Amino acid sequence: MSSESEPQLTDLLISGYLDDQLDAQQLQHLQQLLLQSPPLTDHFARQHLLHDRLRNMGMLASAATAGTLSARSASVVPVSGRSFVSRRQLRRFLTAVCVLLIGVSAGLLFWSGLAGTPAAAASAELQRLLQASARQVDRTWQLAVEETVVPDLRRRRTVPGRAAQRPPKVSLDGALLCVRSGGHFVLTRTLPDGTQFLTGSDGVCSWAVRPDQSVRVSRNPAHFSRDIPGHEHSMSFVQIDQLLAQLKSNYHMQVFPGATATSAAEESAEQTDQLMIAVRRRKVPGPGRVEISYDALTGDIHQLRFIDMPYGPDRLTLRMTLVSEDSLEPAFFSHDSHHPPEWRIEQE
Amino acid sequence: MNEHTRTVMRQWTLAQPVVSAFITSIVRDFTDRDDVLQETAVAVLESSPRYDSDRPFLAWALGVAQNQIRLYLRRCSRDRLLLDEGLVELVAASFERVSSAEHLRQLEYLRECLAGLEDRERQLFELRYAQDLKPAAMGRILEMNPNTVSKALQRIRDHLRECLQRRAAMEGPA
Repeated sequence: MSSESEPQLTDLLISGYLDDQLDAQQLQHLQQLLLQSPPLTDHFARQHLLHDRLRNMGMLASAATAGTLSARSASVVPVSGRSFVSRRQLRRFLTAVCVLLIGVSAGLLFWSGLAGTPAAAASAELQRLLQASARQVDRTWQLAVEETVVPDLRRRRTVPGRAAQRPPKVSLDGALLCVRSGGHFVLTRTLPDGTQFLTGSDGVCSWAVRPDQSVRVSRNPAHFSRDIPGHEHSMSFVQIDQLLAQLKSNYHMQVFPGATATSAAEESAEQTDQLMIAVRRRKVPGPGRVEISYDALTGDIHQLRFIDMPYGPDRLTLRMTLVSEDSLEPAFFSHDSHHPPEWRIEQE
Repeated sequence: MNEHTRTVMRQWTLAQPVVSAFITSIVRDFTDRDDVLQETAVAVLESSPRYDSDRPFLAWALGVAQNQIRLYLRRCSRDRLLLDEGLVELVAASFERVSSAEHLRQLEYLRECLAGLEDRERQLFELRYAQDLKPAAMGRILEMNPNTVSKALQRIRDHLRECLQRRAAMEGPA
């Protein structure tokens, strides 16, 4: 940097500071310059006003992109068609609104608080979602893996013993997760050859129905929940109310303004949709960011998106879209419902 | 909620982007910014009865943020490269000076200016500001030298700043 002229040098130093590229000596130099020159300190502040606004724009654009993906991926056959189509349209509209939000003048963003609503307001909103998600209904979620980041092999920790022998996890992409209160779940994943691998729990025992036509059953109702996303950091994806409670204590919450539905029919049923973004606090486990799309009127969650989520050795961006709240058969969460009676059953 | 608290909340909503940028300028990390901003928001609401409405709100809110930043700096790991605590007040004063309505109005054109970025620039913007990656990590993804990434980011910000000024000048005074 020494060959640069003074204005260029200060710009380089400030830019390096913005991107965390300065070493101790360069930081010291920048500090000296800031102490000596109020105009430079003003320039430094103006650069940060832009830098900070860019971060907020980036977060908002990222949320809008997620909405686009969700609309594109609506290939799931809805269990209750009409309401799902309506939600899909609503989500598509939400995407457009998210993009539009970026376009709304900063004045409006200024008023609505681009960096989020104050903590108390976001916390109150989360409380409303908690109440809505505590409703005793069966929920079916469609999972989609948007992105998988595989860590550098050299950085992977070698795990001794049994964990090292464990086969890689079956992909969650395209999986269906059916949940009921009391820890009941059925996770259906499809292998590349088209066969299915199911794990589940009926609240008393857990089980795995494997593609090799064997069934393993454990009296521990949580034994086969390790493949449920969130298991590794004790975030319960099976019980959304518990997940929200964890977000409340471990994440920063921001609420982004909602949108009004387009058609009159939708207006009467589901008027507004809202986006809540949770950013993980330091030194707590879990996904780096969680985005929650929900009905602003009822607090019902339509979609959850987990960004930078640990899953085995990988980090995923995972989307969970609600496809049905229809009641499932009483025996649905028992393994008997998912395999022929002659299949071999092994007790764990 | 009484009228005074309501006024403070309204003022906080207006001041929050500037306070957020001020916090970023010292703590640097965006996740830490969110931590400190949230703590500042709570502190602003809790101390709202002590706010004298004859004083400019932004200066008061920046003062509250300074306290939270100092607390952050004291509990922060010593090996992180941060500005000295002594500079915090100086930088806060600068934020107060530069946060004129005129300058903040310029930032209203940011969306249009971002729309004008070329594909490569947009990719860099998304990696840096949507995914919060640093030049080293960006370089690995883009197969670029981190220094080249840094310079490209600087160019993008320069272009955006010029674009904001140009658009604000075209629109004329508010």
